Amino acid sequence: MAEFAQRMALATAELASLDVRTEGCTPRTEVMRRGKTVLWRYAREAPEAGLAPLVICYALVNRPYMLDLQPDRSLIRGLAASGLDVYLVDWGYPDRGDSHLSLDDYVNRHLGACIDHVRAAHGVGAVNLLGVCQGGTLSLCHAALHPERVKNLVTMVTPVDFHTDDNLLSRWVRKVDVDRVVEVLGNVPGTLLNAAFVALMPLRLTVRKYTGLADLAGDRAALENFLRMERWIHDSPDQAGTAFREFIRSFFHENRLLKGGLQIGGRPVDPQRITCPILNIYARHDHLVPPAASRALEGLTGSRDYSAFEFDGGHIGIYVSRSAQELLPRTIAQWLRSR
Amino acid sequence: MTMDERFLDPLFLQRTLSGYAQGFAALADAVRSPAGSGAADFGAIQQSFVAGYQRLFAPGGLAAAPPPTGTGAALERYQRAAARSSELAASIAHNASRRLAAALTASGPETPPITSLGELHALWIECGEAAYAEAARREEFATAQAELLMALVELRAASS
Repeated sequence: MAEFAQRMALATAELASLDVRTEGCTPRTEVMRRGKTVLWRYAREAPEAGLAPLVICYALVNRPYMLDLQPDRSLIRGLAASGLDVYLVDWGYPDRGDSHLSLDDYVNRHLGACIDHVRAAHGVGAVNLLGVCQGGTLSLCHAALHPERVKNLVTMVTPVDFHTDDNLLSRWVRKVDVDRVVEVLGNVPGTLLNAAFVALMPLRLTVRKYTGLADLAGDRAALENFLRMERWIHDSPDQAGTAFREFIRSFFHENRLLKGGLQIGGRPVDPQRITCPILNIYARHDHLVPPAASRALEGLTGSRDYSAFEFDGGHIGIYVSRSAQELLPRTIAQWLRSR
Repeated sequence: MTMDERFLDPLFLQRTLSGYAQGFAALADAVRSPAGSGAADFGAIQQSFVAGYQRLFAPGGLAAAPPPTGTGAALERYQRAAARSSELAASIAHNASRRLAAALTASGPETPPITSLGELHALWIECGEAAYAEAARREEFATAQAELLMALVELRAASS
């Protein structure tokens, strides 16, 4: 116990002396901005692969630098190293002035403007679209509303069926009066969402993680990794109230993407209108988006070219694990090349 | 807000880590038999679970501030919701400590003895998560969590 206390004290002191960068590691340029939404273009790190540019649509919750955390843990870097022109849609940090932003704004206007910018910049009619987590759900909606803009669609740890038996988060959320929450709070605090995510596996995600820090004492690189992850976890943007309410009601409460009847901006979102090739990547041990929630995409769309890839890991490991770095960029790039 | 404000406090992580280290020490003490009798103190083990779970029942970003006057009904609702959540936390902790006790006293080729604090801690986590997962899937848990959140929201509404 005394040794544990010593190592914990040492690790804590070392952490206090570290200052890690968390805004991403791959060189990038801001190429478009609409409201808080920024479109980043990443430097290609290999000869051009001759493919349509790839636009990554991240979730509204959490920050997208998880995809470019550090040089040896970067999906974006891996994709750029495959010769892809990579763009990232960064939704930013909504503030009180953004509480009116709706799913129509995010899916049609902001994501639409980003995709239109890339289409114009490259002189192409359609882009490759990679949607991550909730960003995958938004991408599916965009592809259903604007099928002509999407050449190929990759979804990654994306919830489609929000009512699978093993979806703990959904069980809880369905009991919440989201209208009242948004009426009182306006925007929904990111810290509230964080608390809900941690509550899915509370002892593993708090006690085990923090006591395990003692094992990292004296290992600067490991401590830097730990600190980057902590910063990312605590870096949760508040959610624009209107879009949050729409998302919770339409997807978590009513499961409309799967069951039908989903509307965004007054227009029906019919997954059958998605006819482009689809690669659906999900994680076998995902505690946040259970595999069954993602696998529900098969057969839901009008695509005749559907592939699935099951990653042997969890919701976080799919971004940052060593195996993910080796597997995912290669899998995505090869799949795109073959279409 | 650009980042959880707690994380911008340079002492936040240190305090958090200190809290978990103390919890680990309490667990170790409980299992090492505080009275020197050789038997683990399962009351203390249970308390260690209670402390771990109760952190969960105050949704981040909505912590109840000292209520001003005029929030009577909302405050009462919040107190009821908090009490219900504490009941559930205690029940889960009881289940978790029962699981841990059973695991610690089990013997046989598939249950090698615990020989280090690290192994004990891993078992504590395993039993705690198993008990929690069982409870968290129940309707009563979802109802209690949602009611606590809505009570906090109403307290916020009454305070503003």
